[in-house]
Amino acid sequence: MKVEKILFEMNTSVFMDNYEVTTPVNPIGNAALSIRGLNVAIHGKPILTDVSFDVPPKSITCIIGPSGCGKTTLLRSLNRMHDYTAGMKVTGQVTIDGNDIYAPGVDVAALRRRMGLLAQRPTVLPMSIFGNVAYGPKLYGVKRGEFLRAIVERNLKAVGLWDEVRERLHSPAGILSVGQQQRLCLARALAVQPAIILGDEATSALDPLATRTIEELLLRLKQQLSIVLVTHTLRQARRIADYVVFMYMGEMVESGPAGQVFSHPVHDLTREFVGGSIG
Amino acid sequence: MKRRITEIIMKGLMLLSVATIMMVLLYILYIVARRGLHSLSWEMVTSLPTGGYYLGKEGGIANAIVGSLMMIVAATLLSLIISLPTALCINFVMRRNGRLARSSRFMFDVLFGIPSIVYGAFGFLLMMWLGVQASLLGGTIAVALLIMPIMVRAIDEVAILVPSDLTEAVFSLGATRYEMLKVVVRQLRPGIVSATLLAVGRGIGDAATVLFTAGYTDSIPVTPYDPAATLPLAIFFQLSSPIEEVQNRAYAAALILTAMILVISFVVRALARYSRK
Repeated sequence: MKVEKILFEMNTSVFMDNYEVTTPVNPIGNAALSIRGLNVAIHGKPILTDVSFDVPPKSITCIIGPSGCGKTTLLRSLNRMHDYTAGMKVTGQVTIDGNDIYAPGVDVAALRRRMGLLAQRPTVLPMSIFGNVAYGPKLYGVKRGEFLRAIVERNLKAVGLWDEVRERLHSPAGILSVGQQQRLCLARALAVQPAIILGDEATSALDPLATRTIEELLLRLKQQLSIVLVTHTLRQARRIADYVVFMYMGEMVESGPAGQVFSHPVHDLTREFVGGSIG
Repeated sequence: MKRRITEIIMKGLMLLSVATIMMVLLYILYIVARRGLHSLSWEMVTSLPTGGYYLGKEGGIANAIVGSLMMIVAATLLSLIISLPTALCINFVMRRNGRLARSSRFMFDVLFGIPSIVYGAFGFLLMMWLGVQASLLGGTIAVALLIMPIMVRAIDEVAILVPSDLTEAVFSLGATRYEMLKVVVRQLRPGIVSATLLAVGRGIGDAATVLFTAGYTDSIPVTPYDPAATLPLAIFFQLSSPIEEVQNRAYAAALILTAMILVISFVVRALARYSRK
């Protein structure tokens, strides 16, 4: 079965009991993220200053830039992961579907659910393969075994892992290879029906083949979701990015469609970075 | 050549250390077994002491075995429901290496180092204040206090290793902090088992804590307010007897205590393995 079709079926959600109840109003895939005047500082020392750009829907936006330029900090402020970091102060606006995520009274858990996270190293939960994918839906009240099984199967198929693990769904997730674990993490993120996938150098711990598998998956997923990917490999950005955000020393230097940024960069710094003389 | 010699010497020293510790351990076991095995009998495990037991006549120390078991189970559970949230709080609610977390760790290290007789005396004062006499309840509370710092630090040692990647992965799925902690507890399970066993081993063998708080009796406690006999005190009292047979029974009681710790370790580890499936 084609992945697109499965993802489309995921949307219809006819097989889920109260799975839909907590889903935000906007359907999957229509979300665009927009960042305006974002400042992040730790203990008064600025990490990001006045960052503004848009993440267009159904596309891959790559954040590029040399190490230490604030790429990861930027990504982590998109799903409020800094909330528990002491001394971290975030100002500015990050809006998803027009709602500011830093507005007071925002349900942070519900917000995070809309943004799947793919970490640098795959982090499986200390439970079975099945349990990993079913964890999110269970949080949202899906209890019936048949529904959970359907969700697990769909999402594992969506990341092409189903045939590899169908015989050992109840084995600990830790026995999978790193590449498989990263796909499992993607399936786990997809199972809560996010609108956006945030990837933090999601392939840097993987070998070239596993990297390619993940990249192909992301390219398919962008038909339904928006993807924001931090990457430190320019070649990866060239391969999969629709839009590129170039960061340098905590500031957003240039952003725009990938073709434009790579072939006709406006800013000198971007030209140097893309050309390989800095970074 | 010099490096190879260093290598050989170092390896030798390490083996020597292992051998020394093993020899001391085996020697202790040998002494206990040599003096205790003769006196060890089924009667000793199953029957209560009769009037003449402490003079070398028939009877057993079932009162102390049951008392110790009741007390350690209750104290471990009591301690665990305080220690686990404490260790989680230090690592996942406070900033893990922040000043508050570090000073908490330091305090538990200090508590760890306090002699058990002080816990006994403290428990005794607490009981006087509450109007409770030497009882199973009093002993349980004192032992729970004694093993709590051990449990907190043992769980803390593994909790500190939980990567922030894991908590972030759980958060990113939309979990609340409490839901995140539940996942963390799953991750910590082997550490919690080790902490429990460490605490059981320390708590069940301690005489000073229970000396004032639990008292001693020849019967099995029926309510928490009854005094309770414990194995360490059974050993202590019998060992202080001038009669050799009674002294040998102290060693037999020590053998029973050792065997109990062994059995508890196996049972807890087996339960932990079973629950993981």
